[in-house]
Amino acid sequence: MKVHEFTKLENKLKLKTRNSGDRLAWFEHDGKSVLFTKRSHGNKEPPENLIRQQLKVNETQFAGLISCSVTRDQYIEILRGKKIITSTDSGQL
Amino acid sequence: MPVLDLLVDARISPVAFALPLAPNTGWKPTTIVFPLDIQLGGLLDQDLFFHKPLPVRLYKSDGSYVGECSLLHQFGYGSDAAEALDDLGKTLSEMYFYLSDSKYADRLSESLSEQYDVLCGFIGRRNVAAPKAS
Repeated sequence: MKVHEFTKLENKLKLKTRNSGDRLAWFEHDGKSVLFTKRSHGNKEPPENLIRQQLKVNETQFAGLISCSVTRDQYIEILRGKKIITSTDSGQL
Repeated sequence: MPVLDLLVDARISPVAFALPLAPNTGWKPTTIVFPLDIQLGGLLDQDLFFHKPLPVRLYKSDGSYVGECSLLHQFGYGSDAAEALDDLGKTLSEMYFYLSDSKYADRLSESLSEQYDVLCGFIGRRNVAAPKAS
């Protein structure tokens, strides 16, 4: 995938890093880290299918994340549906 | 230094390619066929070490080389196999440090907590000796 597409994803999902040079970025929800993905570095394009798998979405959902048709809230619902975000993680009983 | 830290399949090492053909040794260059399944046992941060080698698949994808560890859902990539493995090693090191810090701060989801347990089965942290008082 193109570097600018990944930057778009990073901004939309508000992915966190500790340092600007980090190789990993993680998705947080309710104060907990939920999943990691690999950041692009240099001019090389990261493999799209592997980024998609790390974000736990299918091809349609991934295209939606890049094209703006899937929002961050919708992405959280996708992760809930896949039990990646659980009620325990959210602090709910 | 533990032997495992040195254990990276020599067939993908750029050093191996640079070795001259020594006469009468019987050594012949090996043709590498991708995808290649290897056991990664090095290239981590100096404060970390491998308990046991990590299964990694090396392959080409869209003009890049990718080293993928399906057990940990992580990968490294680069313009050659050595760069991809180096990137994977740095990624795993970063992952270990972040997950261990977050685990103690109770900031990991269930799924990442499970991933950390898998990671700890392969990677550990060296005991850093305190500097001797003079």
